[in-house]
Amino acid sequence: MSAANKKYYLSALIVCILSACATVTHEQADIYLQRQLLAMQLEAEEQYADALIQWKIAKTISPQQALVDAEVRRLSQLISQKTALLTAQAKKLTPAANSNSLKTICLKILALEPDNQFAMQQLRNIEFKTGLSAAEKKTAKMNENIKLSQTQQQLQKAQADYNQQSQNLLKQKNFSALLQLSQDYLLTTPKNTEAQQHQLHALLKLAEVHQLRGENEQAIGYLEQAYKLQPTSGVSDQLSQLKQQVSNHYFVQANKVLKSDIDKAVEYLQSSVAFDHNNQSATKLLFQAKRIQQNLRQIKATN
Amino acid sequence: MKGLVFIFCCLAGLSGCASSGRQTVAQDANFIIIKPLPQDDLTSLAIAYLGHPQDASIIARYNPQLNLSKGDVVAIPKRNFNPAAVYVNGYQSIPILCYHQFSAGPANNSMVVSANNFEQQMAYLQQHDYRVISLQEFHHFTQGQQALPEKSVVITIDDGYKSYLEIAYPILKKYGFASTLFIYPDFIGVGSALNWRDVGFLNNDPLVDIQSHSKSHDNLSPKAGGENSSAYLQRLATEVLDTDKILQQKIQRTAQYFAYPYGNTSQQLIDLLAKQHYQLGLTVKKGSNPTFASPYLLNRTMIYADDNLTTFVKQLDGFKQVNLK
Repeated sequence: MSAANKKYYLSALIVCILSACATVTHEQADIYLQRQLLAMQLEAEEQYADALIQWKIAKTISPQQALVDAEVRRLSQLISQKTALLTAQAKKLTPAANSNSLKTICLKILALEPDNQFAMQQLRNIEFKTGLSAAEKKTAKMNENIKLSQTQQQLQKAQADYNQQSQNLLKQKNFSALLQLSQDYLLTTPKNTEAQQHQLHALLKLAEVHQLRGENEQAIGYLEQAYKLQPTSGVSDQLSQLKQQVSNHYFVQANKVLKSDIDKAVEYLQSSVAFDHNNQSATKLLFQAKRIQQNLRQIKATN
Repeated sequence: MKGLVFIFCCLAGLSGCASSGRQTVAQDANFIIIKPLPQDDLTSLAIAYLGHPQDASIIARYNPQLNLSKGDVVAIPKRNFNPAAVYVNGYQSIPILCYHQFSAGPANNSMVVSANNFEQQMAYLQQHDYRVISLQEFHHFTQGQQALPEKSVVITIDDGYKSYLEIAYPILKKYGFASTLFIYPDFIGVGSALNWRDVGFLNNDPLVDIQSHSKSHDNLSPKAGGENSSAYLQRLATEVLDTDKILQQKIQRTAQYFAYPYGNTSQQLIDLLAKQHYQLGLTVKKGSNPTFASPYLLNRTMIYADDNLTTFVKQLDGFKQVNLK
């Protein structure tokens, strides 16, 4: 069968089919009217694209109706005008500054003209930028989490190392080293309670050791540090007792040299009062010693 | 001659004058106008003319105020008149669901969905007239080539766990739902994964679409601190192109869709996919996808173990309401 014959045969078949369908043509006027009214109603509701579809359906029903073509043309022109206005608005916007406004305008264009390529491309661009930005933020957050995780791992390792070293130093009763270790560790992790406890423990133990050796002033130094960390009445009492002892010690020393070396006696008495402000004897004697010292200086000056 | 017979059959089928008992009032290249049978509803018309019962909503769009009981005629579209799927009251947006693993009993971690929950979710889709579409149909939708009902959804499953074959697949088969399985070759044949024989079997099922999920499931965004550009591009090439070779060799399949491991992507990866044969790239950013979605940055909504039917249904939002008048 030649191509021309094929064409003829096919056309004949279509004519046959359409003829068979012609049995319902008496209803077509009503159906056409129904679609026409629907199209008008949709247009009144500003559903222009849907109204145009109804006109196209009306055309399918009654292809010979001249009104349909005119209405399709009129509505298409109206849609084109509205689309052109919106397109001009969209082109005035810079995508970065007004992506929400641009999106709404482009959606309005597509609601009017669903195959509008300009609006579709603009929306795709917005979606791409938004999507890529979200992906980049996700990557940045993930990398941040990786860094955080690495930092946490390092902290965990440092904690494990600290635990081991501090336990060893406790066993060895090396409180100076324990104090140093805990203070160093607290520089990087100041809220670590275990290191805080170790630091306090080391200070109290060092105070105890020095006190036993009779090195009360060093002991007081450690106790004062301990008191700053943990201002308890226990530490406070211990500190007061020790300070009184030291104050008394200086008071005794002052008495020993009061008649031979007034300057040294004043120095001792000042130390005594410094360690214990409530040492009345020392305070009183310091007052007297200072007066003697002053008199002696005046005599020396006049001679 | 055979060709002419085919054309005749098609025309006869579309005219519908006698074949289904429905009268064709008129037709042209755009529409076929039919007078339905007394027992017809939109679903039966959708089955007869568009092939899917759920496409009833597509017919409804072209026939507002339709009253079938009064004998109104129905316009059936022959092409898609709204390629953007944007209307004056909003726009269509298709959810793509993402699953990973399944368990026979209660799930023991968030990425595992129990058989019971999955069954309930699929039953919900069927009972509520959702059309489960393939990624290919979704792709045609985004290109304006295919109209879809508002209740459309895509089902994807990542990684290639054996539990897909053992638990999810039989349920999907029962409902006749399409699904896309994103696999990464390094996992196949290892531990709780499918083996290549399983993958081959699934590949022969037209309801299952096997696609690429990279080679090793490495995070494909640039590494934090110190990965230079050429090393990064080389890593991407390995993850994408090696997978292509393996899929071609093992199941004679050319992947067209790429699910980013962990949902992470970059401009470089998108460029690479676009240069190759890939048409779509899928993230795990929650949300559905309009026609104008960026094809290489599609949203996907993860379904977790603790998603009950209420939370599941919330993920199926297929239409974004916006006043566009």
